[in-house]
Amino acid sequence: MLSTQRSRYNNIRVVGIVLAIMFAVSPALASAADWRGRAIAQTNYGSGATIGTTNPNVGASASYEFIMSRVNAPENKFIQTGWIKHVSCGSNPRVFVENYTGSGGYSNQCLMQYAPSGDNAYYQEYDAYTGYWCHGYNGMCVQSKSSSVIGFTTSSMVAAYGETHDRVAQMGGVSQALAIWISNVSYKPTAIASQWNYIKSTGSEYGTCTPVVCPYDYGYGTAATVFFTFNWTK
Amino acid sequence: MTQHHLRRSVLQISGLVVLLVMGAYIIFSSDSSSTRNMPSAVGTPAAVTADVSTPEIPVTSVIDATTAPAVGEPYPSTPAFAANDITMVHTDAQPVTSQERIMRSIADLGIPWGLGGEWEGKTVTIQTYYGLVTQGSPGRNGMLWEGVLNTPLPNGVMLDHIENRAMWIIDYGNTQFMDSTCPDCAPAPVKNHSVYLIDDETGAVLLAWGYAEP
Repeated sequence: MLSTQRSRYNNIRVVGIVLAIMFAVSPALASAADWRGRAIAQTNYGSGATIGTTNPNVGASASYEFIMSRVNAPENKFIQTGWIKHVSCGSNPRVFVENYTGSGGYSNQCLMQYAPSGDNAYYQEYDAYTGYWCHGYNGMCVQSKSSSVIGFTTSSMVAAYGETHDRVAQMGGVSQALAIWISNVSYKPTAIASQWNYIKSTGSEYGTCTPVVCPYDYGYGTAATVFFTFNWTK
Repeated sequence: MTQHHLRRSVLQISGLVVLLVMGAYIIFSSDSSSTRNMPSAVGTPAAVTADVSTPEIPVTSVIDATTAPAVGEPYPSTPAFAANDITMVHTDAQPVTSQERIMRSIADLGIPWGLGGEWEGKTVTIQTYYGLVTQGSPGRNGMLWEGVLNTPLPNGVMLDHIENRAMWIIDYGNTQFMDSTCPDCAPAPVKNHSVYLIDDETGAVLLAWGYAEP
């Protein structure tokens, strides 16, 4: 009888300690940004992909899926196109365009009239004739910016990935079987011609999903030699 | 036995307290969107003409009638305008769509501060602007417009670009607009203003963006 009671006390104590530790560390875990996807070293004047859509639960946080062209030197800069789910842009995903100029910071917008569902084509491309970068959605340029604003014309990396800033938010699909797919990943090899080549390398992991247990997962591969990746919440 | 009972009670109460705190934390951190209350008016009376028939909709503006520029002249830039390359020209034309309907359109999209109220424990501030809006600027040497392009409207019209078109801008403070970020990039600032561009003719919300107010 006494040993049963002692065992109960110990169990309660253990549960209490575990809960207290979880409570103490969960804000730190929850506030980190997580990325799941791949980065491919590829000189390019733009990149594009077909990106699927879900309507993830995000609470007060956000979930994104992107195709990006990025430079890493002399400082990090990028231009990317994809979708966001966040309350500031409504209860459904919206097309989201963004660029980061290092010391110049972030510039972005939700294009509220573009509410994607299913698979859609997203891209950004630099055109030396106009001197502008275009964010594209389903074949249309939906925003143009001068390369002097973006800060580069040639990019050294293409990245395809999902992103969250808080682990209360789902990323991608709700299971591996329902993962978000980023497929037909391609790049623009020249600054003039509107020519696109498929990416055939699978690259390396983009970003991190740490510490402890990452709630998100991703996979990648090639289909008919064309690179793809997919991500989901475990 | 008495000591055992006491220890057990203390441990059980401790466990319950931890669970309660955890529960409260999960509830309040996971969905703050449920904390929408009807707003109280903030700021000065509107200089813009707005048909606001419902009293709970706040009528606010930073554009004071006494400081508004002459008709046809641009309003001074604001952080909301600057964050999205917006210029707005004063017009004496009356809006087709009321401010109330504009704000309801924003709320109907699922944006929890569309009608004002509170967001994460703070009162949402609202600044309203109406005029002829240009977003972006003409391209060099007659090239492509630099800015937002090819925006579809509910009436079937595709806006090639936004230039001198009657629009509303509503700037909600004490809210949140999210930047994406990247590994090894500077942390994204907390943008505590969310701004919306709304077409007056159709009432359609076209763009959303944000800026950080210190």
